[in-house]
Amino acid sequence: MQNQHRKLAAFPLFFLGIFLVILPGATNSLAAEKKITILYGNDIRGELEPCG
Amino acid sequence: MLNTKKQPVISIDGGAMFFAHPYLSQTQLDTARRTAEGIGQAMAQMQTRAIGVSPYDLTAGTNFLLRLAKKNKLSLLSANLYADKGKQPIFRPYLLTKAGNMTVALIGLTGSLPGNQQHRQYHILPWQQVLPGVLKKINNKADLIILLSSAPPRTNEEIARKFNDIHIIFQSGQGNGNQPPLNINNTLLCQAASRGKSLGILKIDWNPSRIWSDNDPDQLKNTENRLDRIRWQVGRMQKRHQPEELKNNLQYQRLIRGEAELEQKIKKLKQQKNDATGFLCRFHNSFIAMETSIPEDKAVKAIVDRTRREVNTINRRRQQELRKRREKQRQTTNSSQQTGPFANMAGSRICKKCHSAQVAFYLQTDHARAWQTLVDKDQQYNPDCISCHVTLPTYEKKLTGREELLTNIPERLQGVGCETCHGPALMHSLDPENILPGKPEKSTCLQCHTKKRDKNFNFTRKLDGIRCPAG
Repeated sequence: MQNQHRKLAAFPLFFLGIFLVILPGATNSLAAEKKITILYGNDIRGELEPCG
Repeated sequence: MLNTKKQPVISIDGGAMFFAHPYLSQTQLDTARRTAEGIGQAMAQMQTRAIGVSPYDLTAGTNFLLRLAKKNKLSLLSANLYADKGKQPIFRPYLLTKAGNMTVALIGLTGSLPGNQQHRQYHILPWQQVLPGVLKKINNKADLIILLSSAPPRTNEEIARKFNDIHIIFQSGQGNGNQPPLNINNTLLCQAASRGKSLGILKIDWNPSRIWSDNDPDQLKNTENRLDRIRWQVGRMQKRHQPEELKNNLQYQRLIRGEAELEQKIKKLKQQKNDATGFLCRFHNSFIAMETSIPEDKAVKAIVDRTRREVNTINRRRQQELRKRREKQRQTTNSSQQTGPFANMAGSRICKKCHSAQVAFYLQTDHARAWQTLVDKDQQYNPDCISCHVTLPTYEKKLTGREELLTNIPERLQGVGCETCHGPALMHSLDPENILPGKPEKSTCLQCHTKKRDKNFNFTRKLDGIRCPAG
């Protein structure tokens, strides 16, 4: 019976752990620097007009 | 190469993609339009996010470009190109687009026509008039604001100085080479070489401060190495000379000044590096030469091959029409004698009678295969290509018109034959003792081996490769 109480007590602690530890980590990564790669000069006219 | 899962990728262009010349004749326009359509399809296949409209892109008119954009779902942008009496821009002025968790605003700016000419059907408003309004509309809606500009570099520099809201200007480079990002008033000016010789890759770590710092990790290390070398030289001079001597020693003074400058630069770079972790936006730029060793995208290759074939077909039909017309003219004038630039050209087969060893050597060179390389690429009806893949006297290369090239090259002159280097040989074949062939000069080769077409051409080295054996 005591063990069952321990298990029941552990449940809310478990979810509290998620809010305290995991979610802040996740939101931190969302708020991190924004990254982007830009490709430019991708012009294929040289392929179509090789002598031009 | 690019991990699109870790970092979103967008592909854009400053413009001048669709046509090479702002003014073309009616006959050239047919093939140019078909080529432009192929380019549009390929750009859509490559998921190009937006393209600026340059005055060169308007060669076939704005309606053609609008239809091409609609058919291929391409975003063509111009904030300052208006119909003659219109009150709205012809193309979309800007585009707000998402890239990962960033919102990017792309604005198009059309430069002036060559020679600042005016066009009857549309007019190009000055950037001073349109950009403030566009930037006001975009204000606070985008993280990153990019201008796709076909204005000249000096104008883009002026724009960068005026608007620090614009973070990057990609300029379309007509005939210019790669330009790594130039930071002017917190705006990066970037340009890749025209005709797809290089692909520019700009990787950005964006920060809400919107202030640029160079993220080149080697710059600090290289600068520190240079400082070490200078300090070593200073130390050596101090050991060898008295202080009074060093006061008047120019080299020593130059080293001391250099040392101070580098110390300042290192201090600034370290500060930026420390700041960059929380404050500055970082970028890293590289150019990749588009060499044949890079694997091709099959879908894009299919579009390119199909476009080439269809353009070749249009040119072939043109050739047939022109030949029929010329045949009729000949019949009318009753002329049978060959005239024009080929009248004194014998063809390499005639040379074989007396110079068999030389012709055998020539047949192994790339010059002998020059015509076949056109056929292999479906370009044998392309007047832009023909003059450098056939045997024409040097002085005729520039004079021979496009129609002449398309219709009148006899089979014996296909390929870069003996007479390209040695001059017309018909008279020499009739009187070999008294009429001698010429010798090629550097200017002969440079007519075709231009910097644009053959940037690594070395006359001495190449001549050794194609020089016929003596005798």
